[in-house]
Amino acid sequence: MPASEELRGRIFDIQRFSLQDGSGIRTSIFFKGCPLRCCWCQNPEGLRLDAELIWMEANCIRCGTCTQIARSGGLDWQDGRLKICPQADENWDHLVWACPGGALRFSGQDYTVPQLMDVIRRDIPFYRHGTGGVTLSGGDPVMQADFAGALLAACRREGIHTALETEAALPWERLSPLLDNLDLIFVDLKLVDPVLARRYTGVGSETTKDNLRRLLLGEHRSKVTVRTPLIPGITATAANLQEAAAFLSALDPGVRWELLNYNPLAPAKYALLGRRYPLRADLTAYSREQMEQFVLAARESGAPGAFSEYGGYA
Amino acid sequence: MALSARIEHLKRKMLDEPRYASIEQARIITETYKANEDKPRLLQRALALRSALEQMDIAIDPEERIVGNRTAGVRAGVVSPESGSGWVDREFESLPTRPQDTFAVRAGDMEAFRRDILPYWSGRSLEDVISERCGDLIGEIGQVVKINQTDHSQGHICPDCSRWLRLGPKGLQEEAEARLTGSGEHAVFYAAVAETMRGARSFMCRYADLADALAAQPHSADERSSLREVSGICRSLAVRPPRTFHEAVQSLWFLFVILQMESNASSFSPGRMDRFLAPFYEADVAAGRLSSEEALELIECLWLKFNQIVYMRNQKSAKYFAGFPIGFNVALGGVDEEGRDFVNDLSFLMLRAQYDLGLPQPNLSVRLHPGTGEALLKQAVRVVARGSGMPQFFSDTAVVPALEALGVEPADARDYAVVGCVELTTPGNNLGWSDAAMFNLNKVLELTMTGGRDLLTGQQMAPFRGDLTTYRSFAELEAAFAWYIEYYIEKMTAACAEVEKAHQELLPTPFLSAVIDDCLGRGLDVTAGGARYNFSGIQMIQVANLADSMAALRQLVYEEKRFTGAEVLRALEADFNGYETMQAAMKNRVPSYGNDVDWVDALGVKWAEHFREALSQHRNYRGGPFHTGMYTVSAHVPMGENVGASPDGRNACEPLADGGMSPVYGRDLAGPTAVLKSVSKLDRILTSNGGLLNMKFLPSFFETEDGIERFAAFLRTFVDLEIPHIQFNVVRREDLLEAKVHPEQHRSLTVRVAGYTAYFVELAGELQDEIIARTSYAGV
Repeated sequence: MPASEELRGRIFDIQRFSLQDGSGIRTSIFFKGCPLRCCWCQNPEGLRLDAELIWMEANCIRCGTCTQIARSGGLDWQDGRLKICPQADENWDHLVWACPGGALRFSGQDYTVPQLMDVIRRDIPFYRHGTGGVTLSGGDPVMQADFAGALLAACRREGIHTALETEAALPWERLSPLLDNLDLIFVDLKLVDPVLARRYTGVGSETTKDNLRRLLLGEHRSKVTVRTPLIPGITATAANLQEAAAFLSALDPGVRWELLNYNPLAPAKYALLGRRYPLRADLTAYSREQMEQFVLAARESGAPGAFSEYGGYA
Repeated sequence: MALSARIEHLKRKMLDEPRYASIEQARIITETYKANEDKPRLLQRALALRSALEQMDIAIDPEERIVGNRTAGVRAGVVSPESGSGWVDREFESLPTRPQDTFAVRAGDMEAFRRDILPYWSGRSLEDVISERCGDLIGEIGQVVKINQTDHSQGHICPDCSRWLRLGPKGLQEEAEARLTGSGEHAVFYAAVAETMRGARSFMCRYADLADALAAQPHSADERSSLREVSGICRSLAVRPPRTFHEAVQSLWFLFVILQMESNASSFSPGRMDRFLAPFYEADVAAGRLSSEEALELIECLWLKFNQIVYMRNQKSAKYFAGFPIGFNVALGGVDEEGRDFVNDLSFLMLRAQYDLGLPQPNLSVRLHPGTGEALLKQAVRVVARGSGMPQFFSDTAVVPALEALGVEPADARDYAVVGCVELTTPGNNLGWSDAAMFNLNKVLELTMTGGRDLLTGQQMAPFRGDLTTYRSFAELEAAFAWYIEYYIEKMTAACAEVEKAHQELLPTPFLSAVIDDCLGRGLDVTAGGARYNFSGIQMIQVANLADSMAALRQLVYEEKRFTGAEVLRALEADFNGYETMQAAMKNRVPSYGNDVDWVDALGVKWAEHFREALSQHRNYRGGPFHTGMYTVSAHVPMGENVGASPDGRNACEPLADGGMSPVYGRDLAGPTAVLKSVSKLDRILTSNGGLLNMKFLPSFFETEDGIERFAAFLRTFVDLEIPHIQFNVVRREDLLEAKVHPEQHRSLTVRVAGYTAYFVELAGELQDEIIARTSYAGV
């Protein structure tokens, strides 16, 4: 294994003052690459492991700087939108540098552990009050398990509180080395039924369930919170929630199980990227009362640890 | 706890009553001056105040437990001819219709003003005298420096409330009389002080008489007994100091009404009320005379009173200080003289009053330090969550050392209070002259880039020292910038001296001087340097834009060489017309102040420090030091109108960053922790006169106890980072849009403008739009 200074991780966003994913005031590091392809994905720029070139339509001032510089057919206007041909032989770094609006950019940036630690350390004064710290998110950080492990170890050495958000859809051998250096583990359980999971997330639910079984029966189980995003008509069905409740309560009846409200802001992000949102754009978040009903139903299905925080979008 | 019926009624009546411009005191004062032309100005001022105290029409609402105002009506715009009658003459007709801070005008007042008052003051008012002596200088530097206090009395002072409560007007009168010997300058001063105290005592007796008269009329039994209580208190206060909490609150309010009558100025601030009212509260509670509910009602009565005096400014000034902030600043909590945590029941009751009433005054401040208890902090956060923009927070870790560095004794520094919006002071012994001037660093950068030529008018304003076409390096540009800063500091301090001198000659304040240490001891009026501390505060406008512009020049022109200096100059001259690509690069390809990017923040720090250092070479007219602050109130709008297009990508005349330490709107992309980190790089000494950091959070942030806890953690870090000030707007965008469309339904909706709270519906449309557009952080 290479030394952590040489390891590089590909990151698509760093969010300081992150409040949703764990306790206190946190810094969230969003890792590129995800094993799933959920049709409602809110972070489409995090799906692929490679840092593809993207065009942020909202930032583009249509000055034509890029198309003047691109000499090998890499960029072209089509119906008022910028078409990118990644195979073309262009000096892509220079094109990104030259774009005055910052509309042309790579959807990820490579960092070494020390480089990320420089960012993480900046908010140490905030972490101190109220158990704040770092959350690895994505994508799924387990896609870059070596780098995630090195980063978590570095945080642990400096006494920084750590959390992980994962789909747990990759083999246990990749996830398990991270666990010792984690304080909180958030695992998504979206669809329990393997067929539905394959249809809506591209991957069956078998591995996630297997990993959850190991987590909830193992030594790290007190760190675990299971999360289910409520997507109207897909995950937010009575059948799925009952199945999830049955599965979870069989492993650990007291498991912390958070139901996350649908995030209606996701379509805006697709628009920003100039992509089409695969679901209906007019879906709205559930009301406080509806969320309470979901929680009640989950608890009645045998999972007393179910909860939600209103406003906590998926 | 809901408001009591009494407070509810009084609040509604106050908000329903129209605001009028009032010339009543102007007429009384003018007659007094005419009858005493042979007397020294100090005595004329004292006699004029006494006449006003004895002759002004007064009123009491039978439901009031705390009485007194400087006019019979509430929220009147008092015309003050001694300080500036010229602007009233020019703007009287437009008062009811001007864009900001309107006042109704009574029939006949304009004619009476122009016939009986204006002619006497023409050429004699502060405004006219300053204009005659140094109007040219003030005009010449006006695009860069706004010199303040040229047409109104100096306020921004925190009187020694403890002394007033200990001695009362009778005790102070006796002290002045005891010191009055001979006939020199000091004797005139003591005679003047005694005269004002006689007036104060008459004023209190008149309220007692009026309350008696009302009690004899058919009111409810409750109201009659309340009026008799009011009468007894007012009569007692004329002859002895207060003994109970109710008496102390009434006495305190009389002090502030009379200060406002002597000087029609903004920001006479009570300061640490939870400290100096504590002995009265504790004695009453111990004796079983007072419950906390009764104390709360009395505090709420006083809170309403703080909203009944507003300050009428001229149209231009109203734009800089929109919403007629009057600046009754109350500072709760903090450390005591020994550095121990100070908090008591009153701290909580005063927060409660703000929670219940949600009105713009008092300007409520909470002092925080590492030892602040969790209970006070969380209670304060809950009041913030109510959405009136208050309390604002000050950090003792920043303020106390900053004041000490200025030469303030440690015990005084620990006892600091706040005047007006965010200006720092020691209580009861300090004429801080905290709004001496605003210095527009961005205009100076413009002149540095153009070689002294105004981008907006093309006029040559200052000597040529090079321009963007001649500077071969960033260092050369910086050297020229330093030269232009010093050029304008010289002129500014000269103008400030003239203004202070005019105040000393024309507007001495004997009543105020009786409650400022060591004026009575030294026999000197406060305007003549009688206070223990004599500062002058200059605001640096705006370091955020300056840092961004400097960063853009350094990176794009001198490092990356994306553009030449000549191209940038042409683009600025064209206000970016035809240079949109360059403007986009300036906005998007250069990091901005507020994102915790060290090299950018360092540029802001470097020039703020340079300015402070250059300024510190000068002394003010009273012999005290100049120092710096970073707050604009609402001046970032008009100050921006003076500046052409700038290298931060800002178009000509657009507003500058708001607040004072806040980043430029929409450029703080790394979130609130990064904002705090950037701000914390500005050494606390740079804001010894006050700093202002404005942030806006959506209410969803505070919906849960968990959110309140995280917010408390955020504030604890604010203290650790030694940032002087922070304030929060917690308002939903929809609320503001709705209020703009239906102002009549949202009269009491208050927002933080910048250091003070104003009624949103009373702000000008542009300012409303800007508040709506300000960065907001949701916990999403």
